Amino acid sequence: MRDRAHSVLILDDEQAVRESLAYYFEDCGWRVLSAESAEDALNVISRDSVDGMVVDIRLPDMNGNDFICVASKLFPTLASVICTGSPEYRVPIEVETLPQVSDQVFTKPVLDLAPLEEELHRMVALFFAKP
Amino acid sequence: MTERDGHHGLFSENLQGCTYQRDPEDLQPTLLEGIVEQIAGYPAQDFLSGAVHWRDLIDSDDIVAVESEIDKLKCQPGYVAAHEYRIRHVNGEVRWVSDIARVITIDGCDLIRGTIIDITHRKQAEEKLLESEGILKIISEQSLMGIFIIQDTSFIYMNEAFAEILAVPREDLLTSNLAERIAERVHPEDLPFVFEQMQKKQSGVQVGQVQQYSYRLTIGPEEIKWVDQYSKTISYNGRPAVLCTLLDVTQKEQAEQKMRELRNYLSNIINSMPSVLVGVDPTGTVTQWNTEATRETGISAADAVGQPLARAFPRLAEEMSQIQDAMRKREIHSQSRQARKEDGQTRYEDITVYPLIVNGVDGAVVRIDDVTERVRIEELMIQSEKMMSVGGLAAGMAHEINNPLAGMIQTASVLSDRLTEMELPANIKAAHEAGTTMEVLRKFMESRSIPQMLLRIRESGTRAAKIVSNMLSFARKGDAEFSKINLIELLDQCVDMAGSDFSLKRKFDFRQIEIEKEYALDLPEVLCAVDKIQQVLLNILRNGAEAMHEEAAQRNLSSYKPRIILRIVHDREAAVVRIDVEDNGPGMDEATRKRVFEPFFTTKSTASGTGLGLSVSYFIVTEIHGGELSVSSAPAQGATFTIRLPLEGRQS
Repeated sequence: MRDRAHSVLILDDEQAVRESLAYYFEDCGWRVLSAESAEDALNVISRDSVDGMVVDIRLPDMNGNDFICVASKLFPTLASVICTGSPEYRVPIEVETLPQVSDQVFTKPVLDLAPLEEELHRMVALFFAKP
Repeated sequence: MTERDGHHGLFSENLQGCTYQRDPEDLQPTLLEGIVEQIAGYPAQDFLSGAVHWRDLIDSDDIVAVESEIDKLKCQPGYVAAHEYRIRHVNGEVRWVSDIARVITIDGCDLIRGTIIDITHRKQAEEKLLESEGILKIISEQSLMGIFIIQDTSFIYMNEAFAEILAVPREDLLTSNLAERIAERVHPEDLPFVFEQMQKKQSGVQVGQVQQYSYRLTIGPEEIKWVDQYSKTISYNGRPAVLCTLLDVTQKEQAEQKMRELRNYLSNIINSMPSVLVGVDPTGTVTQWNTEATRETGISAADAVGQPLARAFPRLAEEMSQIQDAMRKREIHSQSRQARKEDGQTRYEDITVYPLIVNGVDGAVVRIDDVTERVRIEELMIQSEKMMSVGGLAAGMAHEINNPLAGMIQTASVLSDRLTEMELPANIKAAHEAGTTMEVLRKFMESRSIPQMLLRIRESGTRAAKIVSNMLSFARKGDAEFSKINLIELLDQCVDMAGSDFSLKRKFDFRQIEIEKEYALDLPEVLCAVDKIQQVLLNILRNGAEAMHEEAAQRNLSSYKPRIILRIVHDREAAVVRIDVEDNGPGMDEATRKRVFEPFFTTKSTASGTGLGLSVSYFIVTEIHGGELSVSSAPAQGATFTIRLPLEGRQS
């Protein structure tokens, strides 16, 4: 189905979470990149070609919302899905209005990872064709 | 003597008088006969000799009148002077005399001849009479009491006060018909009675008998007077008449009316009190008993007053020492939350003893308030506070727990995929590179129970995640969607859901439970968060079913018929719909009942629940809906969960 392996960046400061997501996406055939801070992640997406991201919100220094806003400006076709451990999290308006960010927010722990992977895949497919 | 006899044969010896003869020009007698010495204290000789002048004896106040009479005698032929005047007796006393004189002509010469009579006694009697008449007149006319005499069909006499009480001029009364007057003034309701009394009085009643009665007078359209009448049958002109006195007692009557009203008002207040109020005297005898006391004991006030307290209100027998103590020390004694059993239910009451110390009237009032509802609400409040604190704590730690849980569960999930997914290309490739196949690995895994162990990790992690998420619901109330729903439909739907849920998961089949429905007619729709209330109802149904499952396991199923009664009632007054879920399971003791809504409190084995089902339900009903969730139960008597939902949702 997939012409070439899509690449995904997993941004999460919790190692076990980051790794579990990385392994899962890897098994699904994605090329996986990881970052444990927004700064790291900005370096990765500037250096490498990234199609989609799974972004944690509560991070040291810059939080996930701000990171998404910055990244979206730099790479308008970069799709992302939010995955947070805060049950109280509500998508802020500046993020909600970004078309490349999925409406679906996944809450940790993600008991079934398949829907998360499928959603990111759907989002990436949506923007991949565009220049 | 013969001359005297010849002149004045008219006087008998015992007449208190004397005759005289004198010159018209002079008051001094020239001839004097009779008892002049008794009248004036001077012998006749003193006058005849000129030693004492008659004129000098006359009271100076009367002298002018006496002289004017003498002038008249001189000027008016045939005039008879008849006057009374005072003289001074030799002993200083004043004597009244009557002097009657006329002019006679003897031998062509005018002389005055007259008689003087001592009328002192008569005068004194007259004065006394005048005096007493005056007093009587004053008494009668100045009296504030109406006085009147009636005979046959008219007034013989009435005083001014009577006319004033009736507000009719006296002249009008004296000339009018008695019956008409009475009919006009006496209050229509009292008229037959007054007529009857008056007729009885005039006919056949013995003279001297007294009667007293009260009635009303209609003075004007707005004015009514209350009067007390005393009637006495007397004899007047030889025929019976009635002497009446009438007293205007309107003010007294009004005061009494006010007193009666005040008494009624006070007793209304006492009777309207939701508390039992019982008054006792120092010996413990009931003196006051309000409506609530009657309701509580079934004994009427009439039966209770005068009884010893212990007999009228046996429950208070043991309070007698408290009451005595309160009266002796003049202190209020109160005992709060006294528990007692009624129909198997525990009720709480506050008992307060107030000594009556004002006016030195000894005694006490015992007040009993049923505070069961308050105690229940306080219990609920404590419950609610506990939950809120759990919610607050959960919100703070949810993130911290969710991250490691995610690491654990998600890693276990990927681990499971990598070890057991036979078709995963990466797996096949890795197995091949390791010199084996997925098939071999699967056999190894299964023989070592790896898949089950991985499953346990995921299950345990999932349960922990659910606990965190349930705890969080205590802190959240804003995000529920409210809509108007029909509770009957919702409840029926929940029973169906519970049926499928249980029959799948447990050996015990929910459908074995007999469901009785007691739904009120015309139930209004209730504004609530449908999925939340559904969760509550499912929790309660599940809880009941599990309790009955235990009961069935312990008893023979053939003799035990599990049953749930579902009841929906509309309490119009409170604008609340009440849902009862009543099971006939094992019930619970007081200690369990009190803690049943507490987070993590459970009597079940830990494997079967999170320990939060009823707490969450409680939170949903009380915090999200502003309603109440309570349970009443006793061991071996089943349990009834009661949900009260305000019709219009949470008021905030």
